[in-house]
Amino acid sequence: MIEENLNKELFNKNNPFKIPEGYFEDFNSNLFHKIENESEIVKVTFWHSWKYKVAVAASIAVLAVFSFSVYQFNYKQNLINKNIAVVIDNNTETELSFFDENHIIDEIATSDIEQKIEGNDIIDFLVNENIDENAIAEAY
Amino acid sequence: MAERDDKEILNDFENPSLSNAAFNEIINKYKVRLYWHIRKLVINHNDADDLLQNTFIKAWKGLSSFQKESKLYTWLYRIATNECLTFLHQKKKRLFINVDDVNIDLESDAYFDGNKAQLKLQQAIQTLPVKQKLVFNMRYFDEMPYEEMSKILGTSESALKASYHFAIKKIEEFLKHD
Repeated sequence: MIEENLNKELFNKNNPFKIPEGYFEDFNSNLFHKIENESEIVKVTFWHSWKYKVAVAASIAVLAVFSFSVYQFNYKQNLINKNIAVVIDNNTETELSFFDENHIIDEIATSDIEQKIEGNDIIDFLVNENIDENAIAEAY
Repeated sequence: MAERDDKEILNDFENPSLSNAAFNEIINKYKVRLYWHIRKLVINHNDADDLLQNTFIKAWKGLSSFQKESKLYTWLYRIATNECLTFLHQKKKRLFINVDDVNIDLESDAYFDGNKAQLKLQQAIQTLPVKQKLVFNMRYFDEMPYEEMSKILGTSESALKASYHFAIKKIEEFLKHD
């Protein structure tokens, strides 16, 4: 059996591996040093822990909810303002359409617009339009 | 100075003013055995050193919740074994190779001082699947009873016996053909 051989002269159980000199003597102090360092690292890296990540995620969520609320509020406010403007515009149109065309013509005919026209303006108009003065005289 | 019983040391560990001294005692008691258990699995001294330190750091963190009904030695052995298995799997992923194909160049290892026969035996062990390697080392080198191995590895004694048997056969085959 190989196990018998392994236990005999061919494969003795002497340890073929070596270790650096003083390894086991220094091991404890090295280990305690590492444990102390690790405690410090844990303190430093607290802000990278899951608690920190949860806090950041919660802050982002709160910010998102707040921004959405502000956006919703502004959107609704704009919608209300637009509706008011439409009502005002509609009112103006209503007022204009209230007048009949004949009423407008009468209003112009009976108003003092003619009185504001100067005599020279009439002559200039006739000259520009090349209208015969005799034809006007005949008409009147 | 004679080694104290584990229970006495653990009682001291519960006292905050004695915990450092008690843990130091635990390290002194088990570091050599655990180191060689780790070293035979990972072969490289620097890797073994890192893994032994990690084992004791985990023990330091978990010792306050350690169940005193269990054996401290078995518990530490289990931590060390798990550290080794995790390390070997990470190495496999890092190097894109099968965990069982991790070939260690012992001839160029400054911390290997074996003769030709020992070199051959180590090379044969390296061909074993990692769990067979573990069982072989614990049984052959540490001469650990199957009952204790079963507690550490969480495997039935019959499965461990079978594993050891297959390991012996494979080593035999390797040595025949090499």
